[in-house]
Amino acid sequence: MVKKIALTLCTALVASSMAMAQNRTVKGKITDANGNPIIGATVKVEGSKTVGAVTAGDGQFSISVPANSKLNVTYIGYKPQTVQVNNRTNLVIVIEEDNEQLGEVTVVAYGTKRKQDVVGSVTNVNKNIIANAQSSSVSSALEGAVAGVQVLSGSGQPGSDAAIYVRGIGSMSASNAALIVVDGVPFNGKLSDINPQDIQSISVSKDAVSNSLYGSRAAGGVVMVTTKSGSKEKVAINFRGTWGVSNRAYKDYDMATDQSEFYRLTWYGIRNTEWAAGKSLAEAAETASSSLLGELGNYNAYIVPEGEYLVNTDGTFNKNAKLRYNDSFADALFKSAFRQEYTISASGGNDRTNFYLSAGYLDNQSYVIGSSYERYTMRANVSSQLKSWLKVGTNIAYSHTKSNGVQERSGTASNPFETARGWAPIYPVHAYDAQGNMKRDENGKPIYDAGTGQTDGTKSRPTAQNQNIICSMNEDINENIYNNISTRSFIEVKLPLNFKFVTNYAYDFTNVTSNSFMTPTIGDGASFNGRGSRSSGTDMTSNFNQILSYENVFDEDHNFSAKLGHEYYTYKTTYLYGQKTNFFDPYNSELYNGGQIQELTSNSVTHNIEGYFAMADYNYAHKYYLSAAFRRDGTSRFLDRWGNFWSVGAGWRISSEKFMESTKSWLNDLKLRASYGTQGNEAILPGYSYGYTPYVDMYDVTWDGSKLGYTVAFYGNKNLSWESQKTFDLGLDFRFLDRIYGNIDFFTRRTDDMLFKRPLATSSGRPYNWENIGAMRNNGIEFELNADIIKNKDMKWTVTLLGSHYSNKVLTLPEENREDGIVSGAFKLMEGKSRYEYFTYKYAGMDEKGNPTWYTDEKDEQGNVIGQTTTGKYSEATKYWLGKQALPDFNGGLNTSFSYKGFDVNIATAFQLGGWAYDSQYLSGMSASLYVGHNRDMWDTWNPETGKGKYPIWNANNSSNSYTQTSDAHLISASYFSIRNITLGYTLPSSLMKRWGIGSIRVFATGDNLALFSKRQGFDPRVSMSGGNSSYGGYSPMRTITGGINITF
Amino acid sequence: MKKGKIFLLALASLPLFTSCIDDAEQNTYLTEDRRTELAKENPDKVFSSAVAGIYSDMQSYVKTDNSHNYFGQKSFDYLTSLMGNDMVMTGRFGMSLYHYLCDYWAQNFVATANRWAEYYRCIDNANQILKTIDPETTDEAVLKYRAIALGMRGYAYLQLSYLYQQSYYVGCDDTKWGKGQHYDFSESKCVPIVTEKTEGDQPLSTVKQVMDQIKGDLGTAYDIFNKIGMQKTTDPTDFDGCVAATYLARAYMITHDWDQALKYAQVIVDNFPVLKGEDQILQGFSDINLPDVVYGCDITADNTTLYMSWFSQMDSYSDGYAGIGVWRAAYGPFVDKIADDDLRLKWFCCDRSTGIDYKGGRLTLKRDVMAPAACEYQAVKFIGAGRDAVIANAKSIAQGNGAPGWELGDYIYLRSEEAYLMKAEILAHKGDLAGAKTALEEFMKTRQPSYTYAKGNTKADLIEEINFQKRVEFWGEGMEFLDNRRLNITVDRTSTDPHNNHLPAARLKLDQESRNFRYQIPISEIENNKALTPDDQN
Repeated sequence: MVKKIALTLCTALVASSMAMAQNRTVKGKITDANGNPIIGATVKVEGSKTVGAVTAGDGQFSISVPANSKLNVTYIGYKPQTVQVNNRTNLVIVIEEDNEQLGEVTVVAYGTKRKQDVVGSVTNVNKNIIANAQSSSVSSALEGAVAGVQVLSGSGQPGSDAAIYVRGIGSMSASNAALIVVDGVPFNGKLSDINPQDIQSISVSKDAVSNSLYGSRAAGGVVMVTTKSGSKEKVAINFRGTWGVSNRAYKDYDMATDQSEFYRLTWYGIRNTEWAAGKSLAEAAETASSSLLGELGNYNAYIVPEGEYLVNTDGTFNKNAKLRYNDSFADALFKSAFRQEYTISASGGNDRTNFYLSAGYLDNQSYVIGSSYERYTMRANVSSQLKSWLKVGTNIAYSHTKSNGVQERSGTASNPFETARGWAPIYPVHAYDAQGNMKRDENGKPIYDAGTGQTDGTKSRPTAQNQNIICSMNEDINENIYNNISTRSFIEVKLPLNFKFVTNYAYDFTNVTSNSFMTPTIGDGASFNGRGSRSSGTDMTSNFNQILSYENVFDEDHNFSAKLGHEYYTYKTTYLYGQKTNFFDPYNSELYNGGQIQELTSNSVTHNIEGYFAMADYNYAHKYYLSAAFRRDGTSRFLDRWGNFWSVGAGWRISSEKFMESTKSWLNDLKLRASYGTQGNEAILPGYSYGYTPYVDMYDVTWDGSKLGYTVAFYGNKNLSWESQKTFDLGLDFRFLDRIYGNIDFFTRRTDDMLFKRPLATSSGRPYNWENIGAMRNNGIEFELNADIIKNKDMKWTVTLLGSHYSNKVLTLPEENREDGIVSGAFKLMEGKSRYEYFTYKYAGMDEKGNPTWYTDEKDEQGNVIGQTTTGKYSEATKYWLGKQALPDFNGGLNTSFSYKGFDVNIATAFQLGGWAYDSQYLSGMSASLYVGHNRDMWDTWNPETGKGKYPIWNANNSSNSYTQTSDAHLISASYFSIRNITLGYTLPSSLMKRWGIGSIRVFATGDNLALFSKRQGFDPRVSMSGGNSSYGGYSPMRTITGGINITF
Repeated sequence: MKKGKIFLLALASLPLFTSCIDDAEQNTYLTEDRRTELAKENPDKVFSSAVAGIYSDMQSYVKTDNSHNYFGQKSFDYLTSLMGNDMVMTGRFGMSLYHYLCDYWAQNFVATANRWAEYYRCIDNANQILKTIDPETTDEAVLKYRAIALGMRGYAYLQLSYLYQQSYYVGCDDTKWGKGQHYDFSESKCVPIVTEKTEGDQPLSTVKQVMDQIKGDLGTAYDIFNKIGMQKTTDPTDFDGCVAATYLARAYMITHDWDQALKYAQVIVDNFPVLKGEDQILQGFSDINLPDVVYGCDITADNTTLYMSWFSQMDSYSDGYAGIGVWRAAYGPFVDKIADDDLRLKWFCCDRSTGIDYKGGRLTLKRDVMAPAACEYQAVKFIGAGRDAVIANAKSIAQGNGAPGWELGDYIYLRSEEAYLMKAEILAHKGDLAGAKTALEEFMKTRQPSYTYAKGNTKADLIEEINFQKRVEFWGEGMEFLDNRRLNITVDRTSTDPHNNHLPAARLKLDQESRNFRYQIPISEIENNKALTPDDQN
């Protein structure tokens, strides 16, 4: 089949030939407005794609052209220019910088394309946004930077990548995340491995025609990152250094952090609990005053005169109470941290060879103690035209990071964010005597309060005895050492008849070594005389492809190109883990120093994909475009291996039509594009090793010290196969008045045979089954609108507004689920409704005693629903459709850049409108437990004195009917507005630079994560697709404010 | 030259047409293919490992993360102990508190989902084994695994029946507690029966059907064990005939089938002694080599679940929860009733057992080590490291450290004492009061040498005393809950006795037919089982 296509293609191409006119040689030089030579600019004869030259180190070019032809000069970041040769043989062409239209050339699958020739939907990210990125991973900078893209960050830990989602939810249970392609090859590392300063461009490709060449893995969209390369310029050395501070960006929920307020609030809780249990208000108040400290483990942060209560029976704080200590964990956990980053790069080249070399160092301490990130990056990108027909190149990147993380996925005692919020502010970090003096050991070091009686008057902290996170974080080790080597090499052979053969080999290797050590001095490691573990995980990815391409121009206006390729991808991951307890030296965490082996295990899995692809592009005079692609992919994930994916696209440059002549004065460009195609998805979520062979039953092997055993880990499904996606895109690109430009796209994206982790009845013995079921659709619209409001020699002001809206609908479900749907957390999958449509209990307000009630179906004797009533028993409540869904109505960004002479200002913001999120994190502060941290909203719980309250009564003995049970009462609007980045810069005048003999100097100040406006303080809707934060560890982003300098020699 | 280039073109195109996709390697799990191959080479290994896997689940199964009070069967023993009269929670700790408040039964809670998943997983594992064994086989090596699988399945249904519906009969004539209001629940909906022969989702079966399944599975298992000489194996970690007999005796007592119950209880009495003397009775119940252990699990460094374990929750000398703040205590008036010369009084640190001053408001535990008791009536019955280790490390323990090795204590699932006390009770129910009294006295003399039964002469009096001694003997081991369910014993923590040490919030009074003791079927089951609707919720 493939052979046939190739053969037909060749015959067709060879058959046609090209008439050559009589030529002459034209020489010239291309410079910028300041007279500096432009190196690497492309000079072509208009209408031809093959005849061209590239300017050399001094900006010179030489080209053989027909007399009286026109030359098109193009260079990235500059406006294209057309020059009439007019029999001249020596030209000086000055080209004008074009900051707004960065994407003259855009990266597409297996190559580059002129932006204007793209028929799919590809967005280039504004280069300022990349250059200003302070985050260790450029992923978070994409928030609000690309229409139709949602960026979700589950953790503020430096070095962690945010997930990037393109155009809604394509899959129910398989991965929805975009494919990251670095320098043309799918990348398994982390975006944080790449120094943002090494990034030349990022483009996001959203529709089928752009993505179907990546076949199986591009269903979630493609983020294409291109790193810098040498530019044949005079040798340029660039140094960039920044210094600054990092802080917690956004405030936590409004917790009662003041100690006296906390006592009063707890008193309120006890009194109301006692009242609810049947006591009179006076009795309840008396009990609250007398049992207050007892409920709190006798932690008294005040000194109270003998016989007096800390909180009086009227709920007021005892005026005679003297502060004893004020030493809360929340205060001790967070601090400002220093941040520094340096990048030095050199680039250059000659006629044959280009190079780009860089080295970077980032020291990004976090605002939470015990969390840090240090990164070294190196990159060498060299390519050489060895022979006129042979070009080779390699791009090698190495990154090494050392990070200390906090335990974001663990309980209140070990996760600092949970400790800060969930621990009562009256539990001190250190031990105190009765007078409030900090207790010290024989060496004079302060003693920690471990919750087992260290502080005088206490015996047992009601939460997490023998734990002290400050001490643990100081003494424990939780370190990750990560190495990534990423290589991209190619050989490009020019063949006769305008054929070209390229083969790329990419090899990525990552290794992460984790060293965890729980000190024998306190905490979980104490009773085991220390507990240490080591793990080593490696990921190896190789990607080998061979592409035969053809490109030609016929009769000046018929531009044709085609590619035929084969690709083989292999992935292997290995893991080794060991754990020991009983360490001889409490300060040596090496396992060699440990005694008892607790765990020793290793495993490995592989994943292979093979693909064949072909594509063809045709355009007539850059006016009419046709594009088609086909890919056949096989994956080792399914027994039913192969899937076929294809796409077609067309474009029409309306503005080039004769009938549009009259609009030429104001309409610079207008292009209509349409595309349709299919893609596949096989990415059953990684992180489960079974996901690599989900078609077999798998068993866990158990060992009790003498017997080997096995138990079912996973039931496979032999029929599992590709999830397929069909995407239709209709877009319009426009530019008018030479000031306003952008695009608007409509899309519809339909997923069939969805990979779904279907929950089963537990009694079947299987918790769930991976199946291909049903269909789902996302319809949407997205736009990007840029306006150069001011555009003159000294002053420029550009504003960009971008955004998207999409709606999601489940189209079909399996027959047996059609009627009742499939409940999935607080949502229910139902034909005709959104995947994230809430279906849960409905809060019905309070009864006369302040107890919460919920709605429930009222039934007649036959069990028929005859109406709705309310119940105070949660177990009797009924789940209902709420008419609310999690997905936002609109999300986007508003970005602006302004420059005046050497000064520049860039502001990047992002926002979201609509959607409802389930705010689980807030509920931990609304817990009725007495000894935990409380949100100040607890003051608004129902007051038996007044018979009023915003929330139900605080009753610590009520669990099954507690207000914090799942219900619609805890949904919150997910709308937000965030100021992501503001950067101010000043570039020193070039006259001064010439005097100093320096290329350029820019000084700048930049701030990340400057503000977030959401419905509730502490609530960040950007942590998951559904907006819910039940699995969020609470690691709020960092606010980084730095100053820096950029010097080019 | 031109030919050369065309050759080059052809050469370059070659890799385009070569295919080489490989199978993925899966070296993390044991795969079905390999399991099947290994089963052909060495069936015994595969079956014995499948069984070991079930044992492993029984020790450590947990469905939810970050919840340290679920760890297989022993967590049932611990959490149901919190749902009775005799165990006291000494503080308002989040973990397990709502079990203690008998308020953790609703369909959306972890508790019900966790148990359901645990026992149905056991049933599924057993069914997988039964599917691959020909029921007609006479091969003894294979029959053994059929018996174990049947036995395990019977055990799992028995456990489910305790939680998801009232007992077959709530209460009994001629006992102090009498019959419950509804009493006969044999036709009430219980749980779905899934076997190796069923296909797809199953509706709820009645209590009777479930009990028949239990008796059938365990009875067949017992018969096979007897036939192949496995009535009692030397290894207490084996599910053998005596294990099946104990569960059968429990099941027949539930359905008031006293003769059958007696038959199976007698099997244990014939095969096992009871613990005797301080060394055994005060050991700490952490050694499966104790002579009374019918069924247990050897805990080693390889399979310990640390904080998420029985001894973490129960052992006051550990560095687990019970040792560092979530202290375990017995109900004061209950301990007060234990005779002064009963050895078992030393399981509880009260002033009578330790004889120390209470003036400073601090009790001193003098049983084995000089360490302050953290609370009145603190339980020191369960010691993961064993009593000797506690004595050897007395000084370190007094300083607040745990006894080293607390996490390595063995799990004891079944003890012979249960059968001795069952036998006494069964005889009483049958009307053989003299026989019952003799059985009780013989047993009690091993605990309290001076013991003679001196309470009333009615059947009710005798059964009440047998029940009390059983509650003492099995304090904390979940037995009280099972007997409360069966005998209709009200949970009443409202006593005004000054020694009532129940948390104020937990001073409730609930009869056995109250909603609180009947777990709802997990909501996920209702939602995903095609044979169930919300109206099937119990």
